[in-house]
Formats: sequence, structure tokens, C-alpha cells
Amino acid sequence: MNVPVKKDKKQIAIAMMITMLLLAGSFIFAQAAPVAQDTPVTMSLPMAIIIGLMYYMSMSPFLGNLGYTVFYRPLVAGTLVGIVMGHPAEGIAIGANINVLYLGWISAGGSLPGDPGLAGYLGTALALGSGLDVNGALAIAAPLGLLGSITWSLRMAVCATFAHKADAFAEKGDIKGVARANIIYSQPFQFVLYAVPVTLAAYLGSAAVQAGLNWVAANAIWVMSGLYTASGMLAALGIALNLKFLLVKNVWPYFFAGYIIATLMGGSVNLLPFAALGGVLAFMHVTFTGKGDSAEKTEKVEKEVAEKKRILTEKDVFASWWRWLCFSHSCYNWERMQGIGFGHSMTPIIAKLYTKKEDVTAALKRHLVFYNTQPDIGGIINGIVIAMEEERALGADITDDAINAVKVGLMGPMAGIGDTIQQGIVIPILLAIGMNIATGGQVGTATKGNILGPLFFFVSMAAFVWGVGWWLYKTGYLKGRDAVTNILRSGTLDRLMSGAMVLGNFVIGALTVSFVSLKTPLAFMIGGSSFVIQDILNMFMPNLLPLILTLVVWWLVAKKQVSVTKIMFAIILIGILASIPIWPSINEAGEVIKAGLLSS
Amino acid sequence: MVDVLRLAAPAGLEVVAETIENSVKSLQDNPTPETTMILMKYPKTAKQLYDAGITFSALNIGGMGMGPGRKNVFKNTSISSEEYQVLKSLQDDGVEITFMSVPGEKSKEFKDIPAI
Repeated sequence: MNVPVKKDKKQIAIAMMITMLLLAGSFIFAQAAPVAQDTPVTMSLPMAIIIGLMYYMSMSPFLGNLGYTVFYRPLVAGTLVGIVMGHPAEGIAIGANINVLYLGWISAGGSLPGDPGLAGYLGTALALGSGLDVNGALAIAAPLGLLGSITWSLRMAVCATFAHKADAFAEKGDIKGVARANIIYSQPFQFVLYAVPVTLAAYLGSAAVQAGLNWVAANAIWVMSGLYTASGMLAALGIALNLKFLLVKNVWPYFFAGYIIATLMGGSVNLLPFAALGGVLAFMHVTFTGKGDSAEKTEKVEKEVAEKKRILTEKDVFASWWRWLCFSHSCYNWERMQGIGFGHSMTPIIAKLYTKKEDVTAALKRHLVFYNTQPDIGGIINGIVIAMEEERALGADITDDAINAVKVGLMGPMAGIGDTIQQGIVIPILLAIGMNIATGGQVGTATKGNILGPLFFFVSMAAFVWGVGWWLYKTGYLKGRDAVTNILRSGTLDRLMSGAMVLGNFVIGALTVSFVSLKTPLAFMIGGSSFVIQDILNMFMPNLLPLILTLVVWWLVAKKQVSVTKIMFAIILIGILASIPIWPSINEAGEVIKAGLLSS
Repeated sequence: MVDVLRLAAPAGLEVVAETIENSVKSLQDNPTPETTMILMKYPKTAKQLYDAGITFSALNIGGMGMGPGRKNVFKNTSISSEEYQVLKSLQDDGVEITFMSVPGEKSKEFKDIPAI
């Protein structure tokens, strides 16, 4: 870690400067945000400390993997910040709107394209603390989310050094030491890295944001409508990122189906019955396009394996799963990725299977190497490896290479499948329903939210992460190497995935109508009669502009590989520039006035 | 293992796993009209293909694990000095080599890393 650390320092220095610029930028955006609708909540130091702590917790391993999957999401973050600051309903509405931008957010292969947690916790705190409304909150949260990439690169570099501590413990055959190394070095470091800056920013930021807000309210009021416009357009980015996964092969028409039906229903829909309809469509799609499965074969293999000799009990496997569930990313770093987490998950197994010190050392070292996959779905690999270790301890001729080949061979495919299922489909759909419940279908306009929304997301996500995670882990152990091929070959997974994608397209299509808002006030007076462009567009199809915008952003993201950051800033810029009142429009009295080109 | 790879690929993609000799042969015998993505485990495999006449103008390097004698060059990518030499010789032949772990993410050029 000699060269990279040096380079990281330089990167961090540059990143810090960008941070400052972004912070300055976000204050300018915040200035432009619509007039305060509520009296600001005074941010006390204890409040700020709790908010910093909550942000750290959402990144920490102590919530049984519900941190990253649940508490890291702005919908939940906004709720918690709202509760701490005494305005839960407002917090939920703000969180739901910030979450629109991160609906299709995915972290894969160790990259962190923006930080929904930071946007959610700090964004909501600053919004409530300065009296910003829902749309203003999104405008300030968007640039804030980018700052997370800086702490992330620092964490990924520094945690690599802690990996060597784990190596040292492994060398001594110290099983508990390896487990400790995964937590006791990396976590205090991350606590300082995450909690302190957020506490400070939350405590000191609100006043600054509020001051800026007052200034702009007095001096450049049109910038505010620009920010409103940008906020409505930013939703297209959140949706486009999701569509990157969904608009594929034979399921893309369902996106348009959802879009058109929601448009016919007048825009904002109740998502639960809508999702139920999507479920029916998904069932029909899968039934009519499905191929036969080979369940017979799966059964046969199960029978053979059932007679195997075992040393480990379900309790041991559960102990291993629990460690993996919590600590897979505890010491996540560029050098080994989840390597230390994997080693940690094997500690209860190694402790039970091996007694001789050299065996223990060898086994620990075997599992501290580079490893990276999707933790919930990829848990099946841990299960398989446990089975192989057990066979080996029972005297079977299984080499280090054989075990490593299984890990290395499966981690890539499982990461691909797992990220598609969990981050690409399950989280966005459950989040979308949660956001819809939270705001009564009025994301971006509702100022008070319903706690049932975040609660629904929490419960359903926990069921998925814990239920599916443990089932796959156990299946991997019980069925060994055949588990993966059997599950893949049976076609169940394929059917589930294409069904989920139909549902996803349908729901996201409907959401595009209520989330993305874009109109044009442009109108001309020709020979005494008025031509209002928006009315003409509505004759073709209402909500045409949001659809076009979403598809253009999708095309840029999915086909042209344009970076999300660039698109985000471009949208904010376009939103503001297009609100400069220089275009002809017609007011209610029928007089020609000057207005912006676009509005929300 | 081949089964897993085949089943993990998105539907509609044909997956073929071959030895180096066989893939050289089949690539030479029927130059594929469709877009073909060639995945290799080690840099030396790329070199072997290249030397056998399967020339390419660009090569992307994804994540490669850390270990003794390896040096971290970019994010989750580490290379040994042996691999460095192999890549260097490919670069000298005019192949553009890029490190990128995830599509669309930040990348780094091989020519910009210090010699190992």
C-alpha cells in the first residue's frame, strides 16, 4: 500500500477542494430553493450528534445488513432525521423526494456513484434546519450525495491496511483475532470518518443555508422556480438509472404500459393495487413465455447428498451466516474487497473443524484472500465452501486450489445475478411502493408523509435480506456445489427474474408519471388566437415531456455511458437556465407575458 | 463451472468456454460477424491469443486480486511484475490497455502507471 496511499493523498486533496466548491455550490442551490414553508427547526448539538451517529450506523455492520439495504436509503433516513428533529411527517416527505434521485442507484464492484445515505441524513437535516421545502431539499441533497464518494475512496484505501492485521492474526492461528481485526480497527475509523463531518455539517450548515435562502428570496426569485424545475427533472435521472436494468429484451413494453395506464388514470396512482396488476401481468408473461423446467434432476441430487456425513450443525452454519450478514463489508477495501469479511464468516466453521494450529492457520489464510460478490445472493458460495471445508476435514482430498476455484469462479456470476436481483429490482420496487405509501402518491408535492411508507420498506426488505439470504446460505451448505447449477438450471430463478422485471417496468412506468414533472409555459399569440404549446402537446398525450426526458436520460446513461454526475449538473443547470423569463407566454388574463421555457 | 457461467449470462447471449488452442482455431476459422466479448483470466492468455494471430486493438483489465508480489495499481486491480511485462509487450504492439472495474466508471490507462 505504499504507492496507492500517496496517490490517494493527492486525490483526497483534490477531492477536498471539490468538496468545498460543491458545498459552496449547494448553498447557492439552496439559496435558490423555494421560500421556506415552515419555520425552521433550530438544530441543537445533541440532534446533530444523533444524526451523525445515524449516518454512521447506516454504513456500519451492526444492523444485520439492514444498514446498507434499508437505513442507508433517503426514505428511511429522512424519517429518522424527522423524528430526531421533531418533525417526522415533514422528514418522511423530504426523504421520499430525495429518494427519487436514488431510486435506481446501484453500487457494484466497489464503486460508490453518489451517497444516498449522506443525501438523506444531511439533506433532510439541512432542509428541516433551514425551513426548506420538499423540492428545495432535493436540490441541496443532490450535490451533497456526491461528497460521499470522497469519504468512500479514503475508506477503501485505509481499510486495506487493516487487512494486514487480519493476516497477522491468521499467521498465529488466532481465530478470534481475525474476527476482531474485521471490526475493531475498521469500525472506529469509519465512525470518525462518517459521523464527525455529518455532525459538524448538520450543526453548522443550517444557519448558512438559511442565510443564503433569504438572500436569494430577496434578489433572484426566478432561480427558485429554476430549482423547482430542476427538482422535477432530476427524478428522470433516478428513474433512468433503474431503467438501465429494466428496459431490456422482451419486457420493455411493460414500462410503456405502466406509463400509459397511469397517465389515463390522471397521473398519481395508488401503487399497491397498481403493483398487484403488475403482478398479474408478470404471472401471465412468465406463463406464456416460460420454458419447461427440470425439477426432476434437482430432486435426484438432493437425495444423494442427504446421506452425507456431517460434523457441523445448523447452528454452526447459522453462526457463520450471521457473521457474513453483518460483517461482509466491515473492512471492505480495494486490496481484498470482502476478503476479510469472508474470512470472518468462516471463523466459527474453522474453530469447529480444525484443532491443529497449522491447519487453523492454513484455513484462515485460505479465506482472507481477495473476494467480492453480492452478499445476500452470493451467500450461497459461503455455504458451498463450508460444505467443502467439512468434507476436507473428514479426510476428502480437496485441495486449496479446488476451494479457491469455487470461490473465484462463482463470485463473479453471483455478483452479476445478485446485483441485478437485489439492487436492480427488489430494492427499487419496494422503495417505490414505500415512497408512494409515504406520500399518498404525491412525491414531490406532499409536504407531510406517512410513517407506513418507510415501515413497509423496512419490513419487506428485512424479510428479503434475512429470509432469502439465510435460505441460500443453507442451501449452499446442504447441496454443495450442485446448489448453484441446480438453482440456475431449474429455471425458477429465470422465471422469477423476468417476472420481477415485468413488475418493475410496469411500476416504474407508472412512477415516471408522478415523479417526473416537466411542462413548458411557452405560448404565442397569433392573429388574436393563442397557441399554448403545452395544450398542443397534451392533445397528443399528456405527460409527453416527462416521458421524452426520461428516455433521453436513459439513453445517455445506458447507451452513451455518460456519467451520472455530469447529467445531474446538466439537469440542474438546464432547469435554472430554462427558467430565465425571456420566453413568450400567456397569463390567465390572456395577456402576453415573459416566462421561462420550462417549468415543473 | 461452464454451466454456471452459461446460466449466469443474460438471456440471449451465447457463452462458449474453450481452451486457448481451440479458441484460436475457432476464432480464425469463422470470424464472428456478431459482437464477441472475449473474457480471459490472466494477462498472459491475452498475449497468447495475440501472438497466435487473434489481434485486437484494445484490452480492458477488470479487478485482479492482491497477493504477495503484486502491486495495487488501480482500485481493486493489482498486477505482478510478470503481468506488467506481458501487458507492456502488448502495449508496444499497439494495443490500448485500460483499467476499468465497472462499465461506465472511472478508468485509468495502462501507460500511465509506473513500471513494476
